[in-house]
Amino acid sequence: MARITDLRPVHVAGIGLHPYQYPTETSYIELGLHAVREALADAGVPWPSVEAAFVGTARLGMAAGVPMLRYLGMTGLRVSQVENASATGSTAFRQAVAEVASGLADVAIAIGVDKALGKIAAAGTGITPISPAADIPFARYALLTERYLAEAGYTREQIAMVAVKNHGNGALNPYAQRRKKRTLEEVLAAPAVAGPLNGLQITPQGEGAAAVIVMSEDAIQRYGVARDRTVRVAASATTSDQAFDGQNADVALTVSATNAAYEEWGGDPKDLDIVEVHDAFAIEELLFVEAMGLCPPGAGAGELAAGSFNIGGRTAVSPSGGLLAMGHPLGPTGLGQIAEITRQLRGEAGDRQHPGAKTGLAHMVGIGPVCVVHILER
Amino acid sequence: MARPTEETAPEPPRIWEKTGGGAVLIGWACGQCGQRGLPRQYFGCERCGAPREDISESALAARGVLRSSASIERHAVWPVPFLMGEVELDDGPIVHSFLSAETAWEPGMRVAGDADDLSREPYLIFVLEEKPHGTHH
Repeated sequence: MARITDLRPVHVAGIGLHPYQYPTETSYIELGLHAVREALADAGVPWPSVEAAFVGTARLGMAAGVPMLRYLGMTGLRVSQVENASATGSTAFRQAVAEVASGLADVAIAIGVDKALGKIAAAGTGITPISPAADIPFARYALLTERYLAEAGYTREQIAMVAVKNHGNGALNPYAQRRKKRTLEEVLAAPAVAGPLNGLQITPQGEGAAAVIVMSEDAIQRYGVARDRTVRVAASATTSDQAFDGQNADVALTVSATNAAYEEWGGDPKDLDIVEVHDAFAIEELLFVEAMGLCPPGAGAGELAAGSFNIGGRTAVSPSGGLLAMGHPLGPTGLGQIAEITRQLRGEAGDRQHPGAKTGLAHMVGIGPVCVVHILER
Repeated sequence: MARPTEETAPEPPRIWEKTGGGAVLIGWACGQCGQRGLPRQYFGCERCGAPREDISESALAARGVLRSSASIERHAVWPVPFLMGEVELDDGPIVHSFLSAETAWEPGMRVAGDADDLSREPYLIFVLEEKPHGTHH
């Protein structure tokens, strides 16, 4: 079976974001257009150059794309809507990359836009859950955190340090929903939500938009896009639930998706400069950096404390602030990760620039469960 | 036929039942590969993909080992705080369920569904498993 990188090379050429924010009355159209216009300006290409758009939204409902994009001029481009829970934006990106890699388009855009509306499809399955909290992510992750504390011998303080790092990174990101540096004492003292998880160790509800333009080599030359600002897509992998016999499915999927991505990329996880990880709950960052091989199992908290995952450390993990601080408006989130990695690899991340960044990995899991991983390289 | 209304719609199927041997959770079993799971569904087997014709209802004993517990401090419906537990059932599946507040829980403790406690209806609440009479550990 062919991989995306077995086809034509694909490059990220433009990125744009509407800052993530707490819910407002702002129209999603305004959020989305802001991100698209910023991405077009960043790439230096006009809207009519875009042949296909993949609109990622988890909460807006059907037909969100054309009613938004028409205000850029009705060019007749191909528009599809993509939904994949938390991995919606990541999946829209993969679809745009596949469109260009396959030769169906030379220029495609993935757009993530969402507002805090709607509910998940589980309500319509006809299946009655065993308990009311079984499908509430924070309850599941509170139970997982408690188990991890007991089994790995980690402390609440060690897990809270994930939030301290990511709130610190978010404070440096003008697109982040939470832009306030927090001390360990502040993180530990936040109002309790479930088990050891509290308000500052759980991603906030919010809204926003992100857009990424991808191009073929031909299009980069045709439109005169600056080569030193393009970033190559080196791997794209996605997987969904398998029979894992009692393992945490998100962790197991992360192992399988990152391994597939490393094989496609041909590199070693220890050579990654930037990793943007699905840290909707603080515990997830430790689970996932271990699962993706950035450090041995059980070593995550020690590496974090030693500064290995800081900006300027061995691998900068979630320099954007991650879902904990940058936010998690769903549709945009995975594309916001791609935008952050692109900015870092270009050397344009300002105060939060990781020195010498050449490779980055974006990781999202979503209800399903599903997992989507991309690797970008200069 | 008239559409069901709130008054005429059938009751949702029960999640658990009381039996002579204690509470059982109502799940499913696959006639092809033998896999059992929760909650009850008739769509197909999660392991081998056998179609609905091979899926039957199956009662799983509401007994097992506590893997983890956490106090839930915010919830839209149930008064907080309340305890949730992750339980590995003796019959295989791992479930998340209400946990009694009357025990200082530790991972590894044996738990069982309390068939007489209806305070969390329609859900089951797990309590410390009573040791059978006459046995000593």
